[in-house]
Amino acid sequence: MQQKAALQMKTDRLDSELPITGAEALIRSLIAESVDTIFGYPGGAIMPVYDALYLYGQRLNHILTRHEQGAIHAAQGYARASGKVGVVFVTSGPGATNLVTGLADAMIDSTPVVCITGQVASHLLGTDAFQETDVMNITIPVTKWSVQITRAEDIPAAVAKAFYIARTGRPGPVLIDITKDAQFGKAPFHYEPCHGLRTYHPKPQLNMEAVRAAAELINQSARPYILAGQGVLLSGAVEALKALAEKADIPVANTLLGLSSFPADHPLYVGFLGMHGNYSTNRNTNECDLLIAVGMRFDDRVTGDVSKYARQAKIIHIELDEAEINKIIKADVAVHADAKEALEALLPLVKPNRHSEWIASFRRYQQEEFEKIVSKDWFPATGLIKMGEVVHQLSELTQGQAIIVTDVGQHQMVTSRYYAFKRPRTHITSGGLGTMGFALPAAMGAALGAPHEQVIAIIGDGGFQMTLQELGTISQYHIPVKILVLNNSFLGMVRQWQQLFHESRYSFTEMVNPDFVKLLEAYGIPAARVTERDHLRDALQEFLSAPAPRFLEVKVEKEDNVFPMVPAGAAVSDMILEV
Amino acid sequence: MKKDFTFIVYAENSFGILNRMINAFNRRRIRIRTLMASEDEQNPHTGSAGFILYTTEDMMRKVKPQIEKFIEVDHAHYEEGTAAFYQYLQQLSVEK
Repeated sequence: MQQKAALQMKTDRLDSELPITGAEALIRSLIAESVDTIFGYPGGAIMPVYDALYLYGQRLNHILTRHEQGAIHAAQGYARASGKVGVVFVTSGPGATNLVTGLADAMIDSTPVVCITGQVASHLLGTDAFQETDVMNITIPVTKWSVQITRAEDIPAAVAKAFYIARTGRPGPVLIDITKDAQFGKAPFHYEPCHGLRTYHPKPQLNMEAVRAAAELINQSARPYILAGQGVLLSGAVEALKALAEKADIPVANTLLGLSSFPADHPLYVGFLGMHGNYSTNRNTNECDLLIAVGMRFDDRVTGDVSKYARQAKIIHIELDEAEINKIIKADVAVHADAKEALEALLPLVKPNRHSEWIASFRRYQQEEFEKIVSKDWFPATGLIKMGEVVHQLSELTQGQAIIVTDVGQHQMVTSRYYAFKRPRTHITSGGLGTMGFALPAAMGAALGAPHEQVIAIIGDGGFQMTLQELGTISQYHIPVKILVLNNSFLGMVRQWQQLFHESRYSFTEMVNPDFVKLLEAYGIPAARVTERDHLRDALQEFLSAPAPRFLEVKVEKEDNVFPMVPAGAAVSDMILEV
Repeated sequence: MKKDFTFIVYAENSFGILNRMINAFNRRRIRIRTLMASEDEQNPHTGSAGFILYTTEDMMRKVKPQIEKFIEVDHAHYEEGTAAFYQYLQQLSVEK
């Protein structure tokens, strides 16, 4: 204890003329970056770092996950909920390779994480030493930046650069691989935060000519339509987007990752885009005369058949990442800029307007969707419980205020459709990569990143079993996560596609599951199951009001389908409401 | 229509940057016909790489910003044909 207290005092002044180990330099660098939480899993090649961490336990909260994949998904959830950079420690070899899925997920979903991997001593690099793997080359395609450190004195600058790169521009994952001799080596410590790099320009200069051209198109448009992506959340452009939409009376739809960037109860909010999005949002993509894409990248799940996508419309694309502009959809006006900066510059140039008839066209499609699909999902009279009614009731009971973390599959699409997100950064999911097993660890991270929020993980029975070992982490640290498993004993989305497009050949999609309630009890987490509609609302209420962690399994209709849908390769306007 | 392009990249001479470039071409299934990479004689912390790529103009237009967004890349440019590649080689040999 005395040793810890002494070090605590010592770290109040982080700089040190006396040489300290590379491992300690790493810990001090993280403290200098205001890191408060680390998710990790120790092993041979990162033991010096863990030894240094032991002495700084009062400054840094380390969460021992049950698998390295859990650590990085937790760091992603932490970053997405808090807006800060998630931090991960793992060892070399399998510890490092177990990060790959999370790195790829963070890369495609623009999530800032810094991963520290231990590595064998530098003289053993390339020798097939125990737990040596070429993590640098393995992870190059799935990192925004990576660096291998072989000298203790290089650690502070590498950490500073890593944090700067991870959080600026289009955020993303960064990996620092540190050899064991660099962790043991000693050097004086001085920390200099990074504020810029010669070859990296994260914030482009706003081109006012492009902004004026965009404003002109908006002012001339009779049927303008805003598609808002995650860039709105990342740049803090929520209020600017709302102001622009209200001033020019423009309907707003969200991409999957853009959900929660525009309040679902706002009169101009028209819904969710994409393959399993809303009918009106997709149909009117091919009816508008101006598409204003903000902080989104025209993912194939949003566009359907690109050759039939919004051909009638002019396109304004406001996007920070220049490589996304004209990549999929050619822009008539490209505004290469931070979304907030661009929207704030647009606002004074846009004239007040009204588009009542155009907005009413969304409402007509919504009414059709409600009658044919939504009403049946929310208020079924017979049969087993449907996912739609669970999510709808959860949305009502939480008033759309909880942080919702979803996994991947049918439940994810149902949640995106039916949970009415009211506040920014309250929706966390694996969008681009579609990583099953993401939600449980990501929800742990979100709960730690936003400790005053209610965090609910909604997961299917398939994805839950991919990372359920993290129940051990939740139990050990009493992480206040509510876990809602919608169990249809199928890999539901694959089964749906097998039914619709493979003549119901259910090839290896049915699952025989364990008794989840007993399993949760074994982890010491209170759990319940609901199988009947009459008990659903009470079960949800109890689930929400009970202290977390808490688990609720809802047995849902086995062969329920998510509609409407844009069949693969079809145009968004060919969305089908039923088969 | 696919044809030859010369693609020149100027970058920091750091570990893995060449791999990142090659990955970007491989991912797009762009054929690399010739490759020359060299560190700068005057400043070994920087360098350049020249490629002859066999692909379409549209693909070149899309892959250029993907390469330029790598942290260590200063800038890149491309032009149709192989003449610029041999000029680049000549320039390197003069510098050396």
